[in-house]
Amino acid sequence: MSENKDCCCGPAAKNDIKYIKIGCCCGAITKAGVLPRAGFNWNLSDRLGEIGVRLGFKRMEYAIAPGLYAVGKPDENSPVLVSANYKLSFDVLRRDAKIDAWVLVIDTKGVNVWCSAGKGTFCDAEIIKRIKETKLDTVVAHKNIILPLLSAPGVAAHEIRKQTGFKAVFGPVEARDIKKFIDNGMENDTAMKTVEFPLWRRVEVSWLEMLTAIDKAFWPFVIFAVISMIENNRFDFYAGFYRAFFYGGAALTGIVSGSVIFSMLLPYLPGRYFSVKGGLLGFVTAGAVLFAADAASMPSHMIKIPAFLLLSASLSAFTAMNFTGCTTFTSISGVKKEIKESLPFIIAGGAVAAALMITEIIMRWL
Amino acid sequence: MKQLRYVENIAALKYNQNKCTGCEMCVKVCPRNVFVMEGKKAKVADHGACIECGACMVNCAYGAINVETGPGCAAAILGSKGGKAECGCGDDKNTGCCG
Ligand code: SF4
Ligand code: SF4
Repeated sequence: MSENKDCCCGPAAKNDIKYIKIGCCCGAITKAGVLPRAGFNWNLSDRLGEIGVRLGFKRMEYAIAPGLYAVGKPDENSPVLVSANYKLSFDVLRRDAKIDAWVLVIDTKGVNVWCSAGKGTFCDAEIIKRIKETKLDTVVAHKNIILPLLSAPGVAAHEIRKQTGFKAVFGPVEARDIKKFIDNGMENDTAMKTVEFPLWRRVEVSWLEMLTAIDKAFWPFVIFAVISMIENNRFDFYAGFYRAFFYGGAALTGIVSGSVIFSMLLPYLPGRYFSVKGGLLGFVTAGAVLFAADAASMPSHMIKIPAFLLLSASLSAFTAMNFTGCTTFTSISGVKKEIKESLPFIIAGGAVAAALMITEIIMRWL
Repeated sequence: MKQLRYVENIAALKYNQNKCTGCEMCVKVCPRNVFVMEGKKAKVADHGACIECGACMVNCAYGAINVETGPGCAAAILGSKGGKAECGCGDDKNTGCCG
């Protein structure tokens, strides 16, 4: 891995990011110059920034300048923590670690630790470059740096030691455990190494999945609505609108099931494949919606009901399958297998639903 | 909370115990606790939990571990059209993942 290390090979990463400024007047005076200083607590703009990126607003431009930062009041014996230059990574680190420390921010193109390590931008070559550039050896009197555990897929710790003399150790997954890690003689216990995926975090990422999926499904449905307004060779706005509303409801049920509801129930849903879990869920929620809407009393319900169920189930299965990318417990071999085995069913389900929808329109024309 | 698990018995993780020097790096870096020490050598204790992140391979200075890595992300695999799957985070067209 460490042979052809060109750190800046991330695909299509933005290079023209405008960095958000950190620190104010009172920088930290060191032998390597005056370094920007940040505190532990967040101010209003940190908070608003977090809300913004969590909602998906300018998420790829939420970056700070690479370099060495003082957090709190570090001295030459304070630990050195390495962070991605995604501003949220840096903010969470200083807030949750809550220790006086030097933070070495490396250039990950504004991407978080786990993803940039997977892409290869959070890598040993970049860390080595920043250690030298910031003259870290003149700022601290020791030879240790602490890396986030989730950067390990991209960072060969032994390379850093070989080329800079700094001993790189992988700390805990969560910044809040760093103090414990240091007190523990730079050792993680199993809990500190384990990636948690609690409810609030699952819902948070699924929210964006949902918005993306709705975005993709919007125009096809507008087109469908317009087509189905043609009734008995005349334009019937009400009929088309009603039909689009019904099947749009099916699509929305599927998408919401496969994203937000799926993410909440993830640990409890049966099966290993996300698509199976999602498909079942989409079917059940669709059934509940149909029941609540008293669908059995609708005209041509013998076609509408199965179409609704299938559309919801297949969209939910597909959306849920895409959620594999939002988790940290799936593997590429596993996902490939899942896609190979489930995609034909998802496509078939969607195709049958579409055929039923078209049949229903045509039957009204006759 | 109990650790969530995905499809088992498929991870492309190969370990050659003969090359192992017992440095314990793989045990330290694996976020899924796949490796444990058994005497002076590492041992694959939970193959099914492996997510093919590559951390163990990258940090084994003695080349005892090999794993084919890539994002465990359906959107990335479907978007790659037979080529190498790349995580979309960092692109403009990224989805909600990788928060
Ligand atoms: S990192 Fe390599 S050498 Fe070290 S214990 Fe693991 S397998 Fe053995
Ligand atoms: S590839 Fe990742 S999950 Fe699998 S054994 Fe290695 S470090 Fe653990």
